[in-house]
Amino acid sequence: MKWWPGDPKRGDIIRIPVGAIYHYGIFVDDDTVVQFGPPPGTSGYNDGKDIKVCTASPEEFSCGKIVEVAVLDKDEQKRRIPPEQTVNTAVSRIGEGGYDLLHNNCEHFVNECVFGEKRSTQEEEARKRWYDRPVFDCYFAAVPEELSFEEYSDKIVPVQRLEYIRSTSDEKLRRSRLFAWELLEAAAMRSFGFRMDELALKKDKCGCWTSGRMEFSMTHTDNVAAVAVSNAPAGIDAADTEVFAHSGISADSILTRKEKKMLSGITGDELAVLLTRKESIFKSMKKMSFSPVKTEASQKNTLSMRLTEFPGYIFSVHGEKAGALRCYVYSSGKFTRTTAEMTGLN
Amino acid sequence: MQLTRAEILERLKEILISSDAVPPEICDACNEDSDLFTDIGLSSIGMLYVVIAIEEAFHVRFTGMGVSDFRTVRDVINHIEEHLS
Repeated sequence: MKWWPGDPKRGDIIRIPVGAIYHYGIFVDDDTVVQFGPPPGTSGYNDGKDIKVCTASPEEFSCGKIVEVAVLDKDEQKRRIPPEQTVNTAVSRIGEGGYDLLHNNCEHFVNECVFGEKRSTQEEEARKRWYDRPVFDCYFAAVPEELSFEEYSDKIVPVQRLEYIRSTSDEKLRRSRLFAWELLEAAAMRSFGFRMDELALKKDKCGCWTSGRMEFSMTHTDNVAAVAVSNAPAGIDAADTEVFAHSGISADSILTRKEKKMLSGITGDELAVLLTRKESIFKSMKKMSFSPVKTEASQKNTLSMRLTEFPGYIFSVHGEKAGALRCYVYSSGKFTRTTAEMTGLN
Repeated sequence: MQLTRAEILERLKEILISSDAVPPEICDACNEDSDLFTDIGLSSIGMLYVVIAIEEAFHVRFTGMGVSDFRTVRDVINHIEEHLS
């Protein structure tokens, strides 16, 4: 559909700009336009209350602005209801109320009269912008020392995940896995408004849990859990620097050849940064197996950070939307926005 | 979903920032008294985005809403609080 200033014909959709949006009507004849309420902002609009389908003269409808006429493409011409029927429908609805900015506005009305379909491109575009906004939210939390498996067991979906957690023999690990799942639940609701049962969770070919509604990645140590949620593939990894220092992991087992040349003598926390970066990249790319010596740590859209709330930890994230990173600390069901201190290679 | 007014305001600021219609510093500085149109500079299409985003983010559905139903951030928070409860 295109718009053109010109003389409308009987049954045409016409519109005028009102600020950054448009007000729509059905042209009936030289004396009459049928519209769902007067244009917003005019005296008869009454702050959006008690709006009804009504008539106006073309002059009243225009509010002194240039009136544009809808020019239908071939497909739209085929789909449209015959103009006389459009006019009859519009006129028959005069006096009808139920106006709603989002779900039943003047554009919904004219499209229903012309195409028999209640649609608003303005609403659809705004909704698309919301869905397409870059999201890369990371949630961090301390794993509680006491966590009742029974208390959480009815909340864990899918059942396979519950069974997997239940079968974990190491008590600390079981607690971390359980809590990470709770954190995922909180993150999905906080960032996307999804409940767990809406996530369409399933295992992918690599054996990782994925959602049909959002991208996510989880990591946990004995004491800390972190979840990244995004609308593009995402990876997150954490390292307890003290544990890492005593792990015996060497540069040789982590660095690529190129990195060995560039980063000779690297040890300690810097090595932990590199390994978590690689792990986050691996998780984001959903590959079958992880080989740090074949994964470059300096890839774009990879960030490494420390949080004042978890001083002994290094976190790395990777994802196309990492530039939109927002960090939250989760505690007792509450979220607190926090600022991460970026570290190394970013 | 149990949220305090401060938590709703925080999430509202995030929605305003994601609209790309308002500079982040203005979003960060807004409070319950801020006028959506004169202080924050929201356009009518920006308002449409914000209302849709609120529906999606807070799992609430607004019905019978007009363009001018909200004037201040407080009006929006009241509306969300009412629907959440």
